Amino acid sequence: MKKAISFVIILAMFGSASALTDISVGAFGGLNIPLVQDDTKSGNGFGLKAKVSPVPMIAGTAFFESRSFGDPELIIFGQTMTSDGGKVTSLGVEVMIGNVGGGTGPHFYWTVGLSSYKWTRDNQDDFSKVGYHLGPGFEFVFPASIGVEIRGKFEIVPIDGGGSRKNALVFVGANYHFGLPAGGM
Amino acid sequence: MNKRPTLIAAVLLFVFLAGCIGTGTIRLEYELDEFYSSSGNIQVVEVDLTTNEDYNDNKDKIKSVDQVTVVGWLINMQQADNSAEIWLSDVGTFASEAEVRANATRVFVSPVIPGNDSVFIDWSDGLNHVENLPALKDAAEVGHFWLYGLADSAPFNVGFRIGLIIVLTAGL
Repeated sequence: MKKAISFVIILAMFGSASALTDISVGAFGGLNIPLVQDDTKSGNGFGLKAKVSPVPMIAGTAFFESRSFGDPELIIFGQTMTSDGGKVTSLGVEVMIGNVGGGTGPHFYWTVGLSSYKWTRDNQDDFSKVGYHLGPGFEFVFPASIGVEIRGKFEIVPIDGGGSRKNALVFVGANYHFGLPAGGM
Repeated sequence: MNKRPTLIAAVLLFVFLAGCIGTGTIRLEYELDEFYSSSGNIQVVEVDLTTNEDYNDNKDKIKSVDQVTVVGWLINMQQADNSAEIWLSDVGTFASEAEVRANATRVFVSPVIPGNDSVFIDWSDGLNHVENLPALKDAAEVGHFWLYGLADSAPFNVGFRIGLIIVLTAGL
């Protein structure tokens, strides 16, 4: 069983030889989940991206994300109070490795990238840093050049002093592929 | 093929990532004893964060203090409107308003409290009224300091039933 699963994953990671390039644009939305952060709660987000794949196994992506965190809550002196969770804008680039060369069917890949991460909250200074992320993704591309994609990201944003903010992101989206080669994988 | 450089790089990368990843953002709530301060009888309250279990568990692993906020009730015991002030010092022996103003750091000014009335400062409001946040963060990192209660206009008589919300990053 393990061998069969490994075979399917490896098959999905290899691009079609006939699909040497792929260009796509897409939109996505999903969850923004803070990890080990008592001063925020989960929120949501959406984004846009454009991908270019010069070779079957590697692609480059530029993306923009607009996300929010939920307002954290606490009780003190018997009073429940909240603070603004804030909004994050993230503009970045990433490298995709795997079956990213285009074509119809399933595509499994990994991404690693960096972004300009800006977090704004009411009554607090803006937090602007470079963030790093990595995670897996899966896209199924239909013959109509439309792909449906789900992806996860583990994001880490180093802060002054040696610590970091960490988030898990889960996005579902749709992409349009230009010049999708006939036949696919 | 010599695998040693790869192994060394992997170990260094692991150490870096462990230091960066192995941190968390912790929120502490610290309630101070209620006190009343007046023009002729300035009151000070000692803050010893080591009495807070969460702080004590992490005091040797603090990477940064990210936020300090004052919350709670401020009670104006006089007829005239006034604003309460909180002053920070690492000395707890100042006896007069002049001494406090000359030697301590003002870290909080409340909105105007109507005469014989009170205001409640919540988390979000508190952030809006904190001053000299770097000094407050430094004090929170040390964990032991004093807060003096004053008011904008004399004479005053103000009750302070307040707490601190402290957000810090701690870890490996």
